[in-house]
Amino acid sequence: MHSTSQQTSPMTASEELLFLQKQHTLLLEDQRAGQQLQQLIRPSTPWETQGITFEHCVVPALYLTGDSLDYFVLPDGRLFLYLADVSGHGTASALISMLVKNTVREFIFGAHAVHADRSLTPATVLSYLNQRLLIYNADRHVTLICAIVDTDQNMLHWSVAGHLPSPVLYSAGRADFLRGKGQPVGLFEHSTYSCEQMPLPAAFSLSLFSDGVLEVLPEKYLITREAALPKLITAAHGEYAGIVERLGLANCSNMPDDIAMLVLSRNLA
Amino acid sequence: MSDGKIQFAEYNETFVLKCVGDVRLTFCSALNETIEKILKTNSFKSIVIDLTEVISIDSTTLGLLAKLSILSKRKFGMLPTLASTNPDVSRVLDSMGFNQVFNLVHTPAPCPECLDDLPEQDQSEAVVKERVLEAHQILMSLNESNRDAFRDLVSALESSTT
Repeated sequence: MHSTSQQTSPMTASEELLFLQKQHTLLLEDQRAGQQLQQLIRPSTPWETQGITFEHCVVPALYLTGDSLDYFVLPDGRLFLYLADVSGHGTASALISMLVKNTVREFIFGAHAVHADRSLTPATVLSYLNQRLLIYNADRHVTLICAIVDTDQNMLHWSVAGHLPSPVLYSAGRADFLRGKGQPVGLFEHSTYSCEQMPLPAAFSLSLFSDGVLEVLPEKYLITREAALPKLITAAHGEYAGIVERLGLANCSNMPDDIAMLVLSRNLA
Repeated sequence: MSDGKIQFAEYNETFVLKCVGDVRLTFCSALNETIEKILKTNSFKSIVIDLTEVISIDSTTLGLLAKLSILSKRKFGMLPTLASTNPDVSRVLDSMGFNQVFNLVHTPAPCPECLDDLPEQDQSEAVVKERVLEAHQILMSLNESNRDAFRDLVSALESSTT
């Protein structure tokens, strides 16, 4: 155990400086260890299953981040994914993001999970997450997009909880925002979430972002930055690497806000 | 906190919260408590939130506003009136589904015809509309001539903790 507070006699200026430097190093090590852990528990990227490729990147504003994402195969074989943004940033938000990940996985895989095949929807996940987060009274809420890809039926199902920007679907040279909205989870007891769905094109990419991405776009206003996103994705032909490059996410650090991005794609030329 | 500020005023039994500039909060629960304390020790009949001079607003502040909505509904049987004229701010409020938990007004001046889309509340629709118009009037009069009525919420917080 490290202990840095057992100072009995008054310190000289240089002793104090040394003490602060030591404490700073300890905090930095602690933050870096947390950052590594956050990277470790994210799903692998790129990851391919059922013909769909998942790719992501997360850029923390400092070390720890409240932006998070997850994707995996559901017990019934469909593909599940979410991208979430916890209000605030830093350590406290990062802790809530871990809670989100665990709560979602517990709902789906836990001992008490009671889902008949295909009865699980993005909306049921959001409702459960909302109720669970309200219990903690943590003064933090979470905006997220939750989706299920059904490659058997070739359908995309999704629900939105207060999240900005909306997901962007790219197909046949066009990129458009997906519809849908709802309140963030962890704020209101009576929030309800609606399920949206659409058939999946043979070739497509679907891009999800946290709102930090809007701060790296050059346009002046939030609504013009948001409008620029589909254009940027069209210019990148919907491809992950092209989007990362155009957003300048490859070599950025010390961002004003956390940034998370998740792109799933199929058969892009 | 950055270039933004959060102020409040008490006027005609109305609690007015005003956010200005680039509002970013690093602490929230302390502000929640301060607001609850002010509401407890004075008799108000409604809450008004003025975001018309906001450039940008962070998620923590939005969380604080949500708490105010819950509190207002519990205490007054109606939701707070929230004024927002900046399209960027209105876009964020819309994405959070805040039209269901606030009486949103988007015009600079009170507009009775614009109030047909208000969410359901314990009070009758007529009462809610009247209060929203009244609240909007108060905001206008405070902003035009009575700017001194506003006090900084953060300094209120500091004086209440010492």
